[in-house]
Amino acid sequence: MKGRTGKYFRRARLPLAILAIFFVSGLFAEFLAPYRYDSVRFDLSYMPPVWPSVHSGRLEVPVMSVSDPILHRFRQNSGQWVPVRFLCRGEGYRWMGVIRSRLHLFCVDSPGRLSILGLDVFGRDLWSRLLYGIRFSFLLSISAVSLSFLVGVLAGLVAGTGGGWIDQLIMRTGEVFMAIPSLYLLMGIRAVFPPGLSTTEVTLIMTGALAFVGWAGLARVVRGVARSLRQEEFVLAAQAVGVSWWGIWGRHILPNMSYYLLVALTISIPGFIVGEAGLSFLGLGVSEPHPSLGNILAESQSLPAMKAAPWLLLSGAVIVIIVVLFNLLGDRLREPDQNGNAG
Amino acid sequence: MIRIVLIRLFHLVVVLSGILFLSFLLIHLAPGNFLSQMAMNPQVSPDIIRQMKTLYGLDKPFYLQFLDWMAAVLHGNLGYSFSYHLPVIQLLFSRIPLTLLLTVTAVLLSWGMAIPFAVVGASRPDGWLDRSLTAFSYLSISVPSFFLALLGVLLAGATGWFPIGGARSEASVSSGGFAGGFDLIHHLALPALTLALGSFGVLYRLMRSSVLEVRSKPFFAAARARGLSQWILRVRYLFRNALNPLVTVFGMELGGLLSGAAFVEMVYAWPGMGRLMLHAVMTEDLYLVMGGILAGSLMLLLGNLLADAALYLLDPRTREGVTG
Repeated sequence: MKGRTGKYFRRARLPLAILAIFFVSGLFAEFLAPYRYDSVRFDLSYMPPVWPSVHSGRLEVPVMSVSDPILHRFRQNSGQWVPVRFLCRGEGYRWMGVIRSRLHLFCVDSPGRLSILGLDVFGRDLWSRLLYGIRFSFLLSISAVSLSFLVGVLAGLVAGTGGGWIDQLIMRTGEVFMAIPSLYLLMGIRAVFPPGLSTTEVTLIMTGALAFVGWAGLARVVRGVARSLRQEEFVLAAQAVGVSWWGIWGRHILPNMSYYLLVALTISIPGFIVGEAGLSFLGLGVSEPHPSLGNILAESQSLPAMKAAPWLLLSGAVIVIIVVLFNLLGDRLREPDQNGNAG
Repeated sequence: MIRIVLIRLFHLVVVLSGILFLSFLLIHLAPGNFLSQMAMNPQVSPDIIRQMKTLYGLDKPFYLQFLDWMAAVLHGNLGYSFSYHLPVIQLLFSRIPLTLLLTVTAVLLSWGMAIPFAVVGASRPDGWLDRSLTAFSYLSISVPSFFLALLGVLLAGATGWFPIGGARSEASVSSGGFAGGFDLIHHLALPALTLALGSFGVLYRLMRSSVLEVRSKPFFAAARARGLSQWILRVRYLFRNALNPLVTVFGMELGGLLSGAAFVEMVYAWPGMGRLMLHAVMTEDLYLVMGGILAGSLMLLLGNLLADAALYLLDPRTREGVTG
């Protein structure tokens, strides 16, 4: 990439690349995961990670069975090994709910069970569920951020360029939203809808609710920048020759604040990811068996569960890593470069 | 000066009525009302339902219902909780002190950690202390409070140093005085520390950049040239001048802290507002939910007022209306 935008992105390429890896792995969850998110093995509840090893010249995993169902102890079935196959045909799926396929990057034949990161209480594969969860969290946050950006930018532009009573109305409304602790408002919105809705409905509600809670902060930033740009000569000139408000916004104001918007977008995404995870963690978001980063973490809420399957805490670590990467990205975009030019 | 106070008060009233309107709108948008369950009962005739609707004013137009409700709220009547069978206001008053205790302790802890560390860390920018504290503050910003709380539970389970669940243990509820106070602090320690660690990062980064700015000012160089001791430099020159941005963001900080406190309360079973709200949402106890929203916003607004007052005391510039 060239020019100013290219420079910013070059500076931030490391966090950007890792985030892209996360996003793409989530996108191809069906292919990268050996099992569906709801594929259960009740006999292998809380089985720890068992890594494949080279055995009689091939990559194989041992077949495990439970030896103590109370303490979740497992033993290897003697002499029983199953080979790990690559680019193989396994459980059928529809990629993104559309394209029908059976292709997986790797799989093993039953009775063997791949357990890269461990299994949960129903014997579902954590690795597979994390991939699906990452996709869900990313897609939901991105749509919520986009929605809140649409509303926030529009409200900020109208308030900043319109001025007068409309400015007062929008900014006071924004203040109302910012005066309510965000989690309280999210819970209030959730309370309006009955419990036990389908996953699609809950997803839509969560997207709407997160956007509803998040637009005000952005509107304030946009309003401030728009107000100062409004005084610039090129805007006044455009106004004088009779360009419409839409023209002024699209041609003169938005392009000049695109950099602020980019940074604001980057630093607001973590809030949405944590918001989604938090709601699902509390059981107000997507419900079982559908995985999100938050409700996988919710499975390890009790001390016994944490002791039996500490690997379930990995979903929290994934949230932390994604948030760190977004914060790093935001910082890299903001900080001045080596020549001292402010970002 | 009086003008500024009046304008602020007017804003406060506007924002408060906005919050009231928003929460009323949410109650109104929810499907059905407290009579709909009764209406489904075949033994209750439609006439009785109609009479009750008139009695409770549910047949009035929307804006009149809102005005009625607002009048009731101003009289301290927030409605009735159907899951606890208690007036909402009574429930809120039993929970607010515990949430406030948790939040205030966390504020004291996080400020008490972040400010001295920032003053010391920023006196050698990019030194080992500054680097490790910056890395730590990165982590603190990025770890969601509910995850940190889970790790806290794990710590408590592994070491047995902290009790988990509730604000008091069974045995000490009756015993007042010193033993009871100690028990409360013992229960409070881990939740408050969790919350404080979560807000440490933002405070440290802010205070650090503020300290760095003060250090580059001529008056600081002059004070140094006069040969004042490190202690006086830090306390009288750095700390007092660098504190303003921290006080300014206190309001925003408090919002995050209240939300974070709700998560922490749920994981540690601390009987505060957050747990009450979650239970209310789960049982569709709408009036309790809205009461919770009102109480949460009120705490936030009061915190903001407090921060403004503190800034007024700390910074003479705000008193002359230069920035106000």
